[in-house]
Amino acid sequence: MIASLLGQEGDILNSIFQVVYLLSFLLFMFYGQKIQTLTMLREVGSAVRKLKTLKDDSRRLAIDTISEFGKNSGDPTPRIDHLLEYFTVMPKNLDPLGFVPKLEHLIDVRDLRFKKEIKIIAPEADKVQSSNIEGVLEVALGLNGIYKIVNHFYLLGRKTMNLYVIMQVQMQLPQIIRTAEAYSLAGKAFAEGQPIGDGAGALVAAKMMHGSENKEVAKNILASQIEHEGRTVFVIKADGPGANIGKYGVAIKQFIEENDGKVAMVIMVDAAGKLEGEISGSTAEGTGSVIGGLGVDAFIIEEVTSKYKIPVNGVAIKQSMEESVAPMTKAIFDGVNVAIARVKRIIHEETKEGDIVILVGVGNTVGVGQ
Amino acid sequence: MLYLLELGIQLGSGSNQKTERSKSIVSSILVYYIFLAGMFIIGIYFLYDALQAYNTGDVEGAGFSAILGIIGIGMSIYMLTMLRKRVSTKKIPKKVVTTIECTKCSLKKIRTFTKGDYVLKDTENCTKCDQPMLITAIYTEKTDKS
Ligand SMILES: [Zn+2]
Repeated sequence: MIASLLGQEGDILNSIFQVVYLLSFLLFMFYGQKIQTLTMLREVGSAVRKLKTLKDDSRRLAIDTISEFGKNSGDPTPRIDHLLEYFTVMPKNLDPLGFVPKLEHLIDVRDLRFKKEIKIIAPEADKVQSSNIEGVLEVALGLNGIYKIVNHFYLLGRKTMNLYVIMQVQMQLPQIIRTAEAYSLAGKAFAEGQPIGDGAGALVAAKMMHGSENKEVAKNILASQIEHEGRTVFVIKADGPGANIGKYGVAIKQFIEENDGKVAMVIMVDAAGKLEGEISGSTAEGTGSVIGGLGVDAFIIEEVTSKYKIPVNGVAIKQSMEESVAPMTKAIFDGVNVAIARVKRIIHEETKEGDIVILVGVGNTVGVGQ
Repeated sequence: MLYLLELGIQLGSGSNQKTERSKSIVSSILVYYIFLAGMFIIGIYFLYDALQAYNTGDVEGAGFSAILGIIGIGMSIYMLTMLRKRVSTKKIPKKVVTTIECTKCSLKKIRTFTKGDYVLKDTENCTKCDQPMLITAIYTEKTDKS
């Protein structure tokens, strides 16, 4: 009796559960997208929190670094907060003729504005420290921008609960987080004055010009004239050890024009982005102006070298995007020595005695003297 | 449960204007969790049912129940891992070292980086020949933990 009753109940329970099962599958079918939206939203939410931490840390770092050099000028926080919202409007390229001079002018004005601001909030900082402060501020500015964009999509996604709005940012999250973490590392390197991966090119030039006289030839650009195997080599790099990148283009143009175009070769050494699978710190040779940034320098160099038909050779020191802004690794440092050997070999093979060669060490020269 | 609480705090913090949304998200996630737990329990039940059916000799029924059970458990665990997926926040501790070399006797020293160091800077005198030493390298050392 009892056994049969139990058996019957078991059957009923079984049927109910089977119906529940079927319903749950239907639920997944119809609400799957909503569940997916929620999942993605959570993922983006946690990324936003991480970005906020990174952003706040870099702001804190900027305030601390600046306070050190501006003890008498009051609390720099409000001014720094203003600077973190600083924006730059790119020149319109609807009519591309004359775009580069406009861009160059824009960069100059922005740079000057930042330098003035730093002078006001950190009056006791010397030239090197001011450059490093500028680097720290740029990092804080960048992280603030990244945070605001991701947060915008996060909040928009929550408001609309639209899978595709959230997906836009969710798909790019791994890259965004990696960039932000790298930026954060760069901020610390600038604050401490440690060389970063991007400085590999500058380090090559620094080692080549070490021990010889140098003079400033363009804004933030130092040049030395050295003799190497009977060739006259003008070595150019940004003014270290502050976090500087100078106007390489202007300096190169000046040298070439001063020598009436009688320059046998321009060699540029720079850190270059590596693909996954390539070894960081490995070097490669190529042709063309190896220089990053917005392209102003590359434009000037290409114009002047093509005008005088001067070959431009490049040596790239490979590194990942993170490595290029984080403190320099041993592998990249070793790559620098290989790059120097390559530069010397190129000079030896491609030019003859009595020639004039321009060697440019491109990159942020933080923590690298000369 | 603690996790849910933490979730609520995380979602609640931030900006004030979105608390209403946060509540609705927390509640929908709560419903989702309960749903997953239900599915998991039913899955267990089906497995148990399969065992019983097998014991009574109903092999066909046992197989059917077993499949249902495994699907239920598998699916609930899968959905749970999907929800718990998070952005990794790994931190790589790195030590920056400074290499200093004597230009005369090539005595080499490696010490931790101090503020003010830069490559190609003349620094403290050599312990051997009392000549200023040169900073030849500054780089991060790979720590064992990465
Ligand atoms: Zn010595």
